Amino acid sequence: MTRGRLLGVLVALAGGCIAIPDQATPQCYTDSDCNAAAGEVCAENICYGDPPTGRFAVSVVAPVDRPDLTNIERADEDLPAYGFLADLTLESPVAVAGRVTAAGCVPPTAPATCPTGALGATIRITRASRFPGGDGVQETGRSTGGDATTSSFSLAVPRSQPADADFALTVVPDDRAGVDPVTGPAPAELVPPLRTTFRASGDLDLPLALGGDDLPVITGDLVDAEGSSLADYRISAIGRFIGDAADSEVSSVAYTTDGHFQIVLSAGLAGPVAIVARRTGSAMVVLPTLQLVGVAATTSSTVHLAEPALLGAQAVTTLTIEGTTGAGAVLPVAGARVIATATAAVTGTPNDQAVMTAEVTTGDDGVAQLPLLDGPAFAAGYHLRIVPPGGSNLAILDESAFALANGAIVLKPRIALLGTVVDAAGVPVSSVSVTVRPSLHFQYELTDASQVFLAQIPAATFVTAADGDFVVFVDPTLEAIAGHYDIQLEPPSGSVVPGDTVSDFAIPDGTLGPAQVSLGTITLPAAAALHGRISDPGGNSVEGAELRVFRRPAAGSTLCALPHAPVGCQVPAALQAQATSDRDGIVRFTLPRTP
Amino acid sequence: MTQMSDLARAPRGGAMRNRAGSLARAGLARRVHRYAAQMMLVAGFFGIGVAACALPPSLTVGAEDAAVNSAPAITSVRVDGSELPFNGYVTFAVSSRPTMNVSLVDTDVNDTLVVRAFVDYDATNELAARSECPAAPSAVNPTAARNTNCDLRSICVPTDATSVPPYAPPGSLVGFHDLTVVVFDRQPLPVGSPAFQAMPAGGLSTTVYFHLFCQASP
Repeated sequence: MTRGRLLGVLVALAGGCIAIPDQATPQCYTDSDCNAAAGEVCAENICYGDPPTGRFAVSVVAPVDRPDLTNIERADEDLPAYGFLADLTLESPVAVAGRVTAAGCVPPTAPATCPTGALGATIRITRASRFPGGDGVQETGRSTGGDATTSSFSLAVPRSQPADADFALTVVPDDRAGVDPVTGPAPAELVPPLRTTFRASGDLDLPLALGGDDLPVITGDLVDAEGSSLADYRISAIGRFIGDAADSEVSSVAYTTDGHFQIVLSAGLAGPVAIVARRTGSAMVVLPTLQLVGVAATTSSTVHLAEPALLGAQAVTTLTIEGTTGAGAVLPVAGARVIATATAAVTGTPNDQAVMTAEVTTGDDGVAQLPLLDGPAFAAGYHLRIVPPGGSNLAILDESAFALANGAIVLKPRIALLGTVVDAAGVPVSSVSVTVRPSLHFQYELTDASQVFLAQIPAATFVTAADGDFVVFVDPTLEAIAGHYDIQLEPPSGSVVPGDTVSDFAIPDGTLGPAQVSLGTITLPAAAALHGRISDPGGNSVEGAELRVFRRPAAGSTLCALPHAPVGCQVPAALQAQATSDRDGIVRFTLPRTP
Repeated sequence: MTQMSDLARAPRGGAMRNRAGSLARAGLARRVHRYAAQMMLVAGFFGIGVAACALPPSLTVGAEDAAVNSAPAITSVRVDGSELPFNGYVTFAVSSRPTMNVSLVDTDVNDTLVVRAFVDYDATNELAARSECPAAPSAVNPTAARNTNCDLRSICVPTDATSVPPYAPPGSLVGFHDLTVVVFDRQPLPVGSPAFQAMPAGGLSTTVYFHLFCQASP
């Protein structure tokens, strides 16, 4: 049977699913109607099998209404020639419970006033996936504070297998943004976060005691340029539990009213930390965030954070954010995020900095009022960034030396990516969701700060018209680096054509909006039909479980050699199919027959 | 005008609105929910979507009375392999790149649905969506059940990890926000009230809520 005929028959069969008799033309009656030489078999009047070559991985997600089951992952899944995955068996979870308590509170809290009951906290359990790009384990729960003598939290996780990475459990004590005179200090003010690892071969009861007398204590004070104490700041330490993790808070939190503070660092930190003091007082008073970097994380110390001189006075900068419509009219842009940041160093102490940041969202009038400081300390100018709302055809703005001045900013147009989606037979495909995301190549070319900024830009989307045409608007550059984008094509539910992704499409150098860049005709690949059965450990069918099928990357990618690839970079697998099981536990899906 | 067809806007109000509130005004939607499991079976047999094949024919008909529009419904929300309980907790690390898979049902099988995810959206803070993703009907085989993937990379931005919602009362937990996922059965208007959720006349929407914790570490 030709692939074109296969496609036609699949279309008809899918129609049969919703009981439209005149479209219910069976694709096959016997195996001989299929490409039996390639392993295809006829089942449910569909030719299943002959999967694409390559290396695949799968994960099966348990339905939320089956707490007795947990997800499974398989890093190397053999897709049988006959196309049926028979052993998609979910597992019984193990329970990880425990009680979050304080082993000791930040000094000078008297031991008698340190809470003895359970602490309110967020519990997060993660485990690396069995393959790069896989889901891994990510479970979040809450520890309920109070005097309960039993567990304050309980989460279900998959049982550890010998080759699995350890689970990482992070406890982040509740922070209620200041001392509540009625309930007293929040847990985050008394104890630091905790990170620990464990394996789970059976149910576990983990006593999690936060803080303690043996942890490093940072004692410090905050002063202005004249040496007077600063009040109304929130102080914490920012650092890492492990070397290749992102920064996070790794200390207790202090809210100072007299400029003095003490915080306790978490145990087991990697590298030095930064002490960050963020203004918490009235929003009417604008002051910078103070930070001191390079503070040792394993020993107690005394630190001194000072404001730079010549911060200037508070000045509200009013910007009207505008954009040009397709008809040429200039109109205000609502919903744009406007972020201004500047850094000033304290003379003679290079590790001591003040960071001034203001972030507002424009209203219907496009106006953003930014409360900033206008002193010479920020003479180097503000870094102004503007993110238009999702779906906009206007480009981001990334201006590194913005001088404070009221006025209008007209955002430039994005460039238009045009294309036409057709199926393997060359027929235009309508209703395909086209989503454009910055590729990993693009991300890894950018500095860490720009990667963070890039992540704040909503992805562009479009739905193809009857003629298969689409247009999406993207930013041509960031940091003067030409954009590279992954263009994901997802046919609608009920479609018989598989999805596909145009990977790492490069915007031609020098292209600026409102230019158009054509991707030409994008041909969705032919489909291989596969199916499988999801069951519980007792062999019973599981309805509502989700199968996710990933294609693992071929060897030889140079992606991780790019200048800003993360530490420990591995090229992730690509999600190629998702399907949810029916009442018989059956999942049906297609994979693209890409070359 | 039917009772439902005047809802040309999304529900608005406090982020803790009960999910059932929006459905309470949509009798048909409730019936759809009752049959949600069956309707899931009709979803795309192939490709990214929901699999199966056993739906009472009557439930697939959406054009018998062109004047009646039924509200779309959200039947499940999954993020990177975990199904999220409605009104439950979800944690994202700042600058992570999660993908949200949303299963939907709309008996108006030819409606193009649009899912938008909002953070801390309420009547006095009509903030732009952090993510938008369409779920168009198949021209060949339109089904009530749909599926769409939304890019959530901008759900937790750095300031979210150290802030509370603008409407939060004193003493609220730092880093906790309200995540609102709304499905619209019309493309929301670029200008209108409520901002970013207003639709043309006759449009309907349904909202689900989650407690969002934006964590500065993965």
